[in-house]
Amino acid sequence: MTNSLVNKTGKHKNGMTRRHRKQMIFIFSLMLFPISQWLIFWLYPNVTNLVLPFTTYDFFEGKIVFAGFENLLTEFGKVFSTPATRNAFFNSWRALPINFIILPISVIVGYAFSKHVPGERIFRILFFIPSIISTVTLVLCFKYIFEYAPSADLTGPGAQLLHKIGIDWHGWNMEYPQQVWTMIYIYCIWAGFSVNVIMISSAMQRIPEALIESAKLDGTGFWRELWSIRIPLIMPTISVFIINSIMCVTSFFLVPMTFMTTKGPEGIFDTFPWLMLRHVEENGLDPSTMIAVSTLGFILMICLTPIIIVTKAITDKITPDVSF
Amino acid sequence: MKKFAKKMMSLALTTVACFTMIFATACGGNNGPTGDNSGYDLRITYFDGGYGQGWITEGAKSFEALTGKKVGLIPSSEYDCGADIYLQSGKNLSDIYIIESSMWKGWVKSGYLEPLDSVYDTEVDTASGKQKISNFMDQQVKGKYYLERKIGNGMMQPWALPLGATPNAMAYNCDVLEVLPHNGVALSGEVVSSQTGLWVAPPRTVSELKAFIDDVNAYNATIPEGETKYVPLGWCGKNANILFYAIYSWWAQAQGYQTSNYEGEGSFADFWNFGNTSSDTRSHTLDTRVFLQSGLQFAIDTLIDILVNEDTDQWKNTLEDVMSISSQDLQKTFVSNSVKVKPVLVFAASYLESETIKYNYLDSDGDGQRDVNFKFMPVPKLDGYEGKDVVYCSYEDVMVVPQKATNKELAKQFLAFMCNQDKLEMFTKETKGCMRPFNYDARNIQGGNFSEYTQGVFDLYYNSLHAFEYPINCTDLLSVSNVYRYERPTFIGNDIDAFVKALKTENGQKIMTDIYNSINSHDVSTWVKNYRLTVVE
Amino acid sequence: MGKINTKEQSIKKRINTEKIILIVLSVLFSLYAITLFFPMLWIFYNSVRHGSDFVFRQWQVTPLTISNYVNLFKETPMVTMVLNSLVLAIVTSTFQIFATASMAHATASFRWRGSSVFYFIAISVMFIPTSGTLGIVYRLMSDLNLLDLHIGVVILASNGMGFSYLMLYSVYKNISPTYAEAAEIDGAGYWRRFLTIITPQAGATLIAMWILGFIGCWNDYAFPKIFLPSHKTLAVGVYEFSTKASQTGGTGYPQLFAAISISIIPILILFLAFQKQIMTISVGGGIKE
Repeated sequence: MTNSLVNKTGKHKNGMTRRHRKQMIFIFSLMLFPISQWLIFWLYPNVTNLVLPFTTYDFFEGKIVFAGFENLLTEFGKVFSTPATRNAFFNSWRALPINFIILPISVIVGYAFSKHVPGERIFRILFFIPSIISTVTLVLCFKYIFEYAPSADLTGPGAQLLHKIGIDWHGWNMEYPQQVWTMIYIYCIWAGFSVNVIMISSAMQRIPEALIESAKLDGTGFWRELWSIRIPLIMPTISVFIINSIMCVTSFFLVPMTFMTTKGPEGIFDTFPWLMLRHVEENGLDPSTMIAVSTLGFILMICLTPIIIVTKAITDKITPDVSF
Repeated sequence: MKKFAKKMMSLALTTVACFTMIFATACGGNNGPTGDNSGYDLRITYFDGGYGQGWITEGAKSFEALTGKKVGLIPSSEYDCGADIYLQSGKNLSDIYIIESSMWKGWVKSGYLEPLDSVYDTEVDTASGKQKISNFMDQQVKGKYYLERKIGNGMMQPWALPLGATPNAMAYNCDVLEVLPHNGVALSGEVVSSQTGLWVAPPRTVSELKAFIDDVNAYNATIPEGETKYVPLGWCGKNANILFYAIYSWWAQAQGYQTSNYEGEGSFADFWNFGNTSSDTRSHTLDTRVFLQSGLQFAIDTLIDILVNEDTDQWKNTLEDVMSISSQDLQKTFVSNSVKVKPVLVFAASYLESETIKYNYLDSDGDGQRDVNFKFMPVPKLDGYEGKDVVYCSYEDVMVVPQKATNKELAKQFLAFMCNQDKLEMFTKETKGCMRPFNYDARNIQGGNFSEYTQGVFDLYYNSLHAFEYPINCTDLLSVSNVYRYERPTFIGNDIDAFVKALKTENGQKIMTDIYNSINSHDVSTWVKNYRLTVVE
Repeated sequence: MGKINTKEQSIKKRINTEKIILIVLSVLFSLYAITLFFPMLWIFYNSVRHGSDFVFRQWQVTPLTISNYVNLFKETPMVTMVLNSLVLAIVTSTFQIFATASMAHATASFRWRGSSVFYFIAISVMFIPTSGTLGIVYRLMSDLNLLDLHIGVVILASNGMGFSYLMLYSVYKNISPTYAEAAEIDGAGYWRRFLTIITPQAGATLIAMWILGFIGCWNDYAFPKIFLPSHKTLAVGVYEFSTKASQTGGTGYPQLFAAISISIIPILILFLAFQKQIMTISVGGGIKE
């Protein structure tokens, strides 16, 4: 009996008990799939992604060769010299300023929820719905409301309304890119702010009630409370929102793609992520496609990374040093 | 109640989850565009487009009767049959792919395709006895399908067999033409009756075309509101390469089809070799000055004159929202009475009629009669041009055999079988008038019952010069520049939407100078690197 | 006394102002909610009308029909698309929560050297921005013969990292070890304890995550489009229908609207049935993409 107890609990030569060894085998088997998936589908592509922009594809030999900065500089140069690439690059950034309109709206709505605005429960549910409907579907709903295509006998109610109030809306027409982009911005705000409201209002609800009460007793008004108390205290959440917004630049393609289906003359509706998608769809197996897509991504990341670092530094600085 | 509903929902979801997990693991392979794997000796995946299915079904049946082998046909909605991903892995491959895309050139480079030398060397039955397919084929077109597998090794082999030869020009609404009065300068009795003053034939020259356009506009103004209105010329902004039908025709006429009318600029045929205007055509020089050809600029200016209001920089003589229209929308507005505004003339391919039949556009009111009677016509010639009509023909549809296909020999046998003259004629009959680029005369086909439209297609095809995107001036296969062998850059660069936009505000010279500068600053360096060319300064 | 009255009055005034502001906001929210739902209702309403009524009698009351739905299922591969979406969504979300739960349990429930490293790896994917890997991943999937296979998309989408991991990590950390220890004494192995004792205690979160995962996969366009090209899902199919809709003229739009409705309605039903669970674990962020 004593022996078996000693055998069970005594240490083996390698310092591990049998129990501990079994535990480690179990932990290893738990992590096998997620870690393998991470290694193969995250780590390998991302490490390769850092290398590929510095290579080029030798057409004649049929292999990828190191090329220094040549490839990167050529592609970066195109951003300035080729209208198509330039438009695609700058269009990718259009999503960013929209978020700075969405943010205050989300904050105000989240604040209203935490103040139990009449109908709060229903609004919470209703405002959440755009985030569970697919982008394609939501864009199409918006698109057909504002569709104006006389040849196809289709004028949506939104287009009819715009015409009635005197706005010369030409529909989703590539000949009027300014109009189209304005409507896309309106869509992004219309569909986008409600997604963030839950996050903001949950953050606000974590603020201790005592703080709010004492502010009220000090005579803080409705808007003052929001600006001076709530916003500083939910700064970490706002910071997450801002970083996420900046990252949206790398995935802004589905909205313009669903609205317009074509990149337009000189890529007036094109974005870098859309360009990457088209490269892969048209020629995904060609090694030169991998290099082209990596280079486009690298260019975006070169521009995004300092912005993220600076933004993080700023938001950290203005976040009050409190915890609750 | 709410809890009960939620429990039921959970139970339903769990059941569906179990079922679908079993389903998902059970469907181990995939049955993508290559379809069902079982029971066929030969599998053919084809792009199901304007040619329809009749010809391939008939061909497969005859082949089965001849060989006793079962043929499986799999239609695909994609131009390249989505074959790319299967060609690399070699799994779930069909034995033949029939595609409408130049992707096959990339497949050759990657080693995915089987060379078709034996097919080209096979003898087939023709009206003049047995001939090799390579000799029976239209010799102007043949070179398009020969490539070196590894660029620079000097071994030119054929890798694809052409499917259709598609002449592209225009079509006109006969019903409107018959009642259209002519105003203005008297025209030849062949187009306008001197007795009735009405049009009796479509315009044959650009001046007659302009007069026709003016007459349609005047006629349209007399039509009361509420009735169908007309515009002179229809085209489609979403598939704007339809404008090439006119541009190529006028360009070849102005520049010179084979021999240049402009010293040092090269002819239309020379353009497609990227300027080997020097005598040494084997050195693969790159001379982008061909983009500045005067004839091309003239053709563009002629088009601008017809389509663009230069005072307002807006489109004229065409449908209001032309930039939102696709090629199928255009077909529908032309042949169907279910639209309010109809074009009298459109740019049209030879398969216009068969496609409108396929999509049920022809008889929108279901009375058993076509809504519109229409015929094929050549693009009106430039004033002063005396030669034959020049027709832009496309040859982008091909049949290829994967290198890893299971039944390669049978596949090649089928390809050769479909080149017998009776099979070519069957193709033309089943596709309602589409031709294959072989030396047979579709007008002699017995029992064709071809419509007037198709007869117009034949008349034009067999009495015209064929303009197409391949260097037809070359003495041998190896003298074709690698740029055109392995890529198919167009005269407008890569952005057709930008080209169309520029038509509104610029002239031919500015447009082509911008394209020339753009090509030189970006594409030239890639071509020089990829194809080891030398640049002519 | 006077001062107290003034203060009370000013507090009352502030409360009234606040009430007025909230009422105004409530009205604005109601207007917004109407604009949110009008397009979806309009699409659904027109999906049950005849094409010619939609074009020529848009604002008149006309008889309803389910022919658009019937034709949609008869003439298009709608059944296959719905099945593909269903299979992908169910299997992917199951794999996802399994991977995430495994990772969370391994790092949260046990103390071992190196667990913090894996914790860091799991959350780092949220913070390290990446772009441009699409070509590499596509090539990788092709080399691994996973391209155009359902299981390929499932594996690709089932990473056990990121925000879901963070959430499950804190859930597993807070699960009391008592029951598991009792089960261990009774002789239950590690897997048995994980699957039958510990994980059910995280049940609510896991179910909510599964539902969110299901919704995400059902709605996903990019992955199925690129990595499963011959087995179209509903999101991909709806996009393609929309690009071809104009070819049939305005009368063809109601059928497209039927397809759009089919892609929305199941999700709405699922959400409304489980909205409490979903909303407790959801956070948003950034533009809707």
